[in-house]
Amino acid sequence: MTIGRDTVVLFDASCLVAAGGSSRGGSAFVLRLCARGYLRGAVSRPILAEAERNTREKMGDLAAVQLERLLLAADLTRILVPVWNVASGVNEKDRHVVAAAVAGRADVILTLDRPLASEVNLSALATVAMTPGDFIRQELPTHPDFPFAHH
Amino acid sequence: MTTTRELAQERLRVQEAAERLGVSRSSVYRYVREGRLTASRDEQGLVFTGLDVEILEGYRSFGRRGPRLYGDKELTEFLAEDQVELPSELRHLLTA
Repeated sequence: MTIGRDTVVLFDASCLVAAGGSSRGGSAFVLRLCARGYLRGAVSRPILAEAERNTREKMGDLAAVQLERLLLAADLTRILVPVWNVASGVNEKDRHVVAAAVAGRADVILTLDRPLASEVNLSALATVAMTPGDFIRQELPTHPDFPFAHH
Repeated sequence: MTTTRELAQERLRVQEAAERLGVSRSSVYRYVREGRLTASRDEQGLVFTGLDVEILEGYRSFGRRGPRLYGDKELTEFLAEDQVELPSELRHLLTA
């Protein structure tokens, strides 16, 4: 896969929660790339709802504020999910993520849930799923702007 | 003061949401009280956004009440997985 400024990256809730918890983690890093226009970040309302609930209830107020700042800067595209229950080999709890990826024509689903990534990658979907770490290591070097020099 | 027309309008909106969700009107009011369905008020009563109904409808299709809450072990695994050693040529982006 070759990526670029038009690559649509759908953030799973697990990544958003982690970004709220750690500003130096892989998820926050990819969100910053979206904020700078190097990638096109996307999310759905159900994903945001899951992220916001878990950040607030499990990580606390500081993490919630951190996530909010990152989301504001990244200005992710909100994908409307018309049908949640897309037919796929993906477990039920995560099908809305796949539905968002299909509706938003996402090139990549970023997730920290490795079982979900495996299910997506074993399915017939055009979207691939990977962790932010794998994305940074394997795909980012193919970006024409890599290594994103200072402006 | 609420007029009968406004009450009728609100009843209609609640009925529409109830039919969409396949529940009773009283359940719709309960969802609003519980914060599971967002509603605002205009001069004609409760207003539901189509998107909120859609989200709730989506959760219901999975037999869930709302966004799932991660277990502690699951969350710990996510946070650990997110720790990435950035290539040195990318570290300047961390301070931006």
